[in-house]
Amino acid sequence: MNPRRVQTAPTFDRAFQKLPRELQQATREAIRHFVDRSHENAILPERKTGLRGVWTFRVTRGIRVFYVQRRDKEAGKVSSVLFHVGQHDDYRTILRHRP
Amino acid sequence: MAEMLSDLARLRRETRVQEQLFETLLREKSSASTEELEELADALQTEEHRQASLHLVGLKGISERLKVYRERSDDSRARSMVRIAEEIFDIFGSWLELFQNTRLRILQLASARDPHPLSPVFTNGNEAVAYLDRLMK
Repeated sequence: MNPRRVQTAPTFDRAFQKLPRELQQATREAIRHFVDRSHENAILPERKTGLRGVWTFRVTRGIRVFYVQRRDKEAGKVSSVLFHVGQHDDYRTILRHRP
Repeated sequence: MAEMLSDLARLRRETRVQEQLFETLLREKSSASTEELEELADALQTEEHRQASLHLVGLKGISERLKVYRERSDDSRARSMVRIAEEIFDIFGSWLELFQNTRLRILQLASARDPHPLSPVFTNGNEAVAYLDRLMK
């Protein structure tokens, strides 16, 4: 399977730099898998519920990368533009499991 | 029971009002700078976590009572209580998700307004990792 075309936005870069070191390492590995399309079952790329056009993949249980897909007019190919990495709580799952 | 149903209706209304307030906020901030939008997203996240910690504690109590009501499935009042509890979970799920999704929309807007260029396009994992390693230094 072809690798993904991926770019990071400056907002992503800043959010990445604010993460603690161990989460930076975990994010780095998740992005490696995302680009190479390896370990898809671990990073689980999926649409963000309730947000049109925003996608997400998993770094750890509570940390996600958020991205949009954009067509590169020159190359005629779709790129994934990562715009944020940070905390994400799946509240519906938390509530379904009823703490 | 009637009072509880009335409270649920009020909570639904409050969620819709909050949603409209966030839509207004997003319109007002459509020309804000990236920096201002990132600050706003941070503030919203703090509020989201405050709300979550506040509500999740209360929901834990409801969850405990729900177990008891579920065991009394032949009791129509208990079945009504289960439906009400599930509605409460649904409302608070929507409420917290609203904060989270608004924060992400603000971050998306911040990214779109950022005047700095995107990174190069990575087409293999090692290239991406090398770029991130430079950010980590």
